[in-house]
Amino acid sequence: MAAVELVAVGIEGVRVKRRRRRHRKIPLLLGTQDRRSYWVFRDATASIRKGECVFLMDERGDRAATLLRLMTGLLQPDTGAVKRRGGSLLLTRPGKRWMGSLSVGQSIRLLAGLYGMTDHEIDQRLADCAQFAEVADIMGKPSEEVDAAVLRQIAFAVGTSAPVRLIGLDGMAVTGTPDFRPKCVPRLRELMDSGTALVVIQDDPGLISLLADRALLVKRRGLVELSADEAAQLAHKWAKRRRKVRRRSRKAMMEDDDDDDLV
Amino acid sequence: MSEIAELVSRRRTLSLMTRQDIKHSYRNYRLGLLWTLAEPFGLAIMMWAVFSFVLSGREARIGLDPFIVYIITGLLPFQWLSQAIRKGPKVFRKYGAMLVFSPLPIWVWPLRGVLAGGAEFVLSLPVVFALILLFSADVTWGILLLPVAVVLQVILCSGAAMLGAALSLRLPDIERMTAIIVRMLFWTSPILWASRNFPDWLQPWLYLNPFQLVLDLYRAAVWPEEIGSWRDCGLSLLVIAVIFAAGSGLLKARVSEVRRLE
Repeated sequence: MAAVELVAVGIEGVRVKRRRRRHRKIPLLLGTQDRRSYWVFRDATASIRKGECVFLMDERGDRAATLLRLMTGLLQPDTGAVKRRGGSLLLTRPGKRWMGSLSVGQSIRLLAGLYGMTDHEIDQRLADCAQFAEVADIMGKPSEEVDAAVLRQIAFAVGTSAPVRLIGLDGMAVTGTPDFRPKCVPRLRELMDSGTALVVIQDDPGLISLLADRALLVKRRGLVELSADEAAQLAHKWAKRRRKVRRRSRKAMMEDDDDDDLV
Repeated sequence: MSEIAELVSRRRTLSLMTRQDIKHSYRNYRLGLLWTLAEPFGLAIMMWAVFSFVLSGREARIGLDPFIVYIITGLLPFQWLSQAIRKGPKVFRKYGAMLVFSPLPIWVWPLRGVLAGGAEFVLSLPVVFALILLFSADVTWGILLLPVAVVLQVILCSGAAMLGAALSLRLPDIERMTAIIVRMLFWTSPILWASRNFPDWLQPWLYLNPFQLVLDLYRAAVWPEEIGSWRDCGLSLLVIAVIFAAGSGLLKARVSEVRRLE
């Protein structure tokens, strides 16, 4: 049984360009923008079974993130159809200021509310979440004084306890403080055993070989099925390339600095 | 209707958001939340001083006493409304990152600003009651209309906020226009004047401004005789309904566009 099924789905993006009016000097409030649409991707067909863990691979990341938002029901497709059984949730990194001026206990509640849980569902899970996120003894502390990694582990605890059939994890599969990280994968395994499907974006070769059942490479003209090993290799290649680019740019920057010194 | 059910089932989340917004906007001040009392109080004293001493002796007295109570019952609700109108177009820029991942219905975000303004309004109500006691105004049965007025204002404010938010997607310039709209509303609403200062034939038309009815209902606590006829009230209600329908309809039509913001 599929937790979510995509049939020939396409998403259009819009590029907005300011149109220059050289000859007509009438400033128009409406119609001064060129709105051109393009395909972010199309003909994406896939089916995610329950209790399965699928990684979405995409080097730049934005295409996969859009697909993930589509799977979790935050975006409606422009073409094709998405069939979903049961609720879904998208777990992303909580922003720095989302929980500003609230205490840790309140921010658990707020995050759960933002992830779409109702008050009743939150009340049932609040204590367990605090326990799992290891913040039960600092519930009254202002969240500004808490490390961002701890906020991420709160988000992880809240998101993985939600009553949904599909969880999208955007860079949040393994997260939090170093003490917390080892608890993530067992928790995800537990969810998979209970029938929750996971869709993950995180190009970490080790994590892919540890967790993935398979992977989908997101391209503009559709999805390419990959096995877990292929995906791990691909992620490894990307990581290498990224390192190389970073090294090159650092080198360039240092040379620039030298120039500045001479002048 | 399902929207209302949704609102009720998420009321604690919404109240938390409101509390967060208020705490956030007063976090840097030494007096903190006391400013919700101090600001309207100072404003009312200033207005009162100007209009009852500097401009005294002129014939333009509005003829409703005590004047300071009249002013503050107009100013406070107006501050709430103006805040809602100003915040509306900025909503998606402010909460953009949360919108991308949160499955909450889209109208939650404009409503959030309205509720924060409403909470500030409620917090500053003690000033009004203090002034009523201090200037020994007579409180009548009309105070029972206060909840009605608050509900109407929530509808009006959220309608305006949603309209602003929806328009700002295609027309960012609306953010600048709101300042002008707010000024215009200030002078066309009965804050520094009363409808009885106008000739009879003009008075029904004043209710084209929906805020006229809302203010009348607030002021019924002291001046119940100032409420317009049923027909006038109906006109204001209609305008409120139109604004709300336009705001929610337009926002609903733009949902897919909002979700694509990066």
